[in-house]
Amino acid sequence: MKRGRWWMAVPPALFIGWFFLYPVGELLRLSLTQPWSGRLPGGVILFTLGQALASTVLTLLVALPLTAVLSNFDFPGRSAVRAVVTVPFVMPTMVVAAAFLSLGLPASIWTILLAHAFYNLAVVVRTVGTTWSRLDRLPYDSARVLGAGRFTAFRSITLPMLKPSLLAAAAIVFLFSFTSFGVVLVLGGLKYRTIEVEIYRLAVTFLDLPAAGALAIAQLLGVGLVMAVYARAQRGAPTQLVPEMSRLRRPGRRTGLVWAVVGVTLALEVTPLVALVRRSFQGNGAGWRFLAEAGTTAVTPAQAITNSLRFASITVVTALLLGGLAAWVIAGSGRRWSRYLDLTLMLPLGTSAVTVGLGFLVALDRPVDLRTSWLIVPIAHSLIAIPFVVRVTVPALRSIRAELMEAAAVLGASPRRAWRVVELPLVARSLAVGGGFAAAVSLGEFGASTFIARPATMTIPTLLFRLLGRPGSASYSGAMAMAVILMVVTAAVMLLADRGRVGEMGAF
Amino acid sequence: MLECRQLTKRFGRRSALDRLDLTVATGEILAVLGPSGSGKSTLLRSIAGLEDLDAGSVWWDGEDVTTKPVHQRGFGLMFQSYALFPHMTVGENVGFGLRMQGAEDVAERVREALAWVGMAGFADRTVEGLSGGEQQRVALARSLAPRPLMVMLDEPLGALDRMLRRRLLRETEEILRATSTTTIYVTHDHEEAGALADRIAVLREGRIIQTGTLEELAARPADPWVAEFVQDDH
Repeated sequence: MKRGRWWMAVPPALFIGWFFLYPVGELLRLSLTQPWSGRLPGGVILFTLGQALASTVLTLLVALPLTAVLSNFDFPGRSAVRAVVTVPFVMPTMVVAAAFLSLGLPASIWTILLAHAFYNLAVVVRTVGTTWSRLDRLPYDSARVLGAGRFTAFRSITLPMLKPSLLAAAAIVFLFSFTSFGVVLVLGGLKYRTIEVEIYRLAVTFLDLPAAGALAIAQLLGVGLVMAVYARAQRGAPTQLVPEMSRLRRPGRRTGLVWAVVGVTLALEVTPLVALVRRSFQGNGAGWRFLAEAGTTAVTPAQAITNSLRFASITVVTALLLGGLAAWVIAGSGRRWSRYLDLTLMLPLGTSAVTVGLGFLVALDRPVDLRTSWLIVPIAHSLIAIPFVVRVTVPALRSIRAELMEAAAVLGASPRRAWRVVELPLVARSLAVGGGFAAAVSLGEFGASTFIARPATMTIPTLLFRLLGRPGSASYSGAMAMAVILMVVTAAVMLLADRGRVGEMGAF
Repeated sequence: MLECRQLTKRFGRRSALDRLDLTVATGEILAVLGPSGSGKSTLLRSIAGLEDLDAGSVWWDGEDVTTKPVHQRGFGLMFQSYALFPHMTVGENVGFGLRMQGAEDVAERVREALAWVGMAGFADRTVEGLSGGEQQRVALARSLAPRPLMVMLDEPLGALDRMLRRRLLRETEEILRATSTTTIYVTHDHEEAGALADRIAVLREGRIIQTGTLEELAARPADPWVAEFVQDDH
């Protein structure tokens, strides 16, 4: 039975074409046809690659011990630990940046690397952990029985089976660090500049759009290369996986080791966020008072919060609608063009947010000038949020056995009704999670918003950044309080989405 | 009465159904007996309307229903894997077809159908906690509750152990007889077919090669293959 009709691909395809492919194309045309003064800044490119590589190595070093523990042992609180280490990953970059500022670390490369490791840890724990915790112990045990030592057996049996997921995790961490913007901008002072920061500087400070465009295209090529590595890693032969329960063991005499690893990692993941909350209350809550009073900024903090919530709501609706349509098409047909649609929709996720924002500025004045409309902000957010909706919904749809829909049809349900009472409820959980991600993306989005948000449409992260750049300890404390608000709202949204069970089935 | 005329269904170059003719009288229990890969499931799916035929037609009581959409045919089909809806309770599963018909006495008829299969009191359970045998009963109740014109059972006992099969086979027959439901029962087990059905149709490579009672098939097999297929193991 077929799922998804071809016309459902049209709205998402139009959206991605108008708001991503066309602007990026314009950017390319601009950088190729307009004269621009500078040369490609070699130092910046080298620094970007170097710090991304270092961030990846550091993240793996910090994350793998915990991943090993979570993938081999069952202990009370295991799932809670997994949930807690995921929290930093969904935190907006401005929250992460503010949290590391509040630790009082100096503006140095190490602070940047630590911040990258802090929020990318979950990528490794989740990506590698889902495979590792479900690896069959049998091959490893056979090797041991055949005379291999613990280390040899791990290296020759376990490691090769983990390689695809390790590569995939490393590629994602590298990509995130490669295009890192907010964290580097805030924690690097003016000393350290990634390509992303340089694009921003060229475009906003020097108004050299062609040069910024050229750099953005160069970065896009780098991203494409990394994504190719990722795609290859994903293709690795699927290993036979077993249920977690049959792999995990009680820690036994390794209890001490297990808790030491868990303790150290949790401390690393929780300390910055706790420091942020404490910092926001310093000076008798000067930061919070600042937020309540501030009349010195273009928008009041309350307005920025209202803006953020409004944009997030629109993003959720748009991303669910367009991402949902795309997911049904992608899950339903094995046709080539649906795979291309899938890949194209993923592009904004890999593209830096700054490039998206820059592209909007360059291209979106025709046919209607969207650049002056507040709608441009939720449009940019949706572009980045749609891939999340697609990625969680497609597997959920594919896991619905065709027979369920056939059974519904045989029992007298028309295709539309079967969709409504069987298919939709079965993916409702995933849609809710996708919606939660969309909200979190929108609430925390910084790179594109700095380009396109006008004074009146500033969001929490953009106002936060503005406050950080202003002299005076009051506005600095205000920024910290703002970061706490953003942290709490984001956490609440994710929690809500995870619980979200859409109604009970009963009313058909 | 169901009539299948010259049903043909090809997958690539392989014919799953090859100009197949079959008739089932109203109230009759017909077993379709054949080895795996003989086209049994494709036959049921084609009658239900889940497969587009390459040629041939399906008739019910003199009406050509070949182009009628699945959900309007009014036939029941019980899948080998049961295909229970995981997000619904046992009662909601059993009542599904009734709700699709817009029936008014859904709750009462769900209770009745669950009573047929000995699962009274299970209505509010989730389907996840059910054993294999219980799932089979719920699937049977779900197929029968809307009172379909005819019900088709696709190896309904295939996934169960021997003891359970024997018991459920007897119960299934009792229910089908009590509700006088026209039935096509697909199996690869000639003992099962013989114990339950009025008539057995032997299917091989997409064609019905012989029809009769188990005794007739054993006494006068159409060819050596049928003779061996319906032979007792002991």
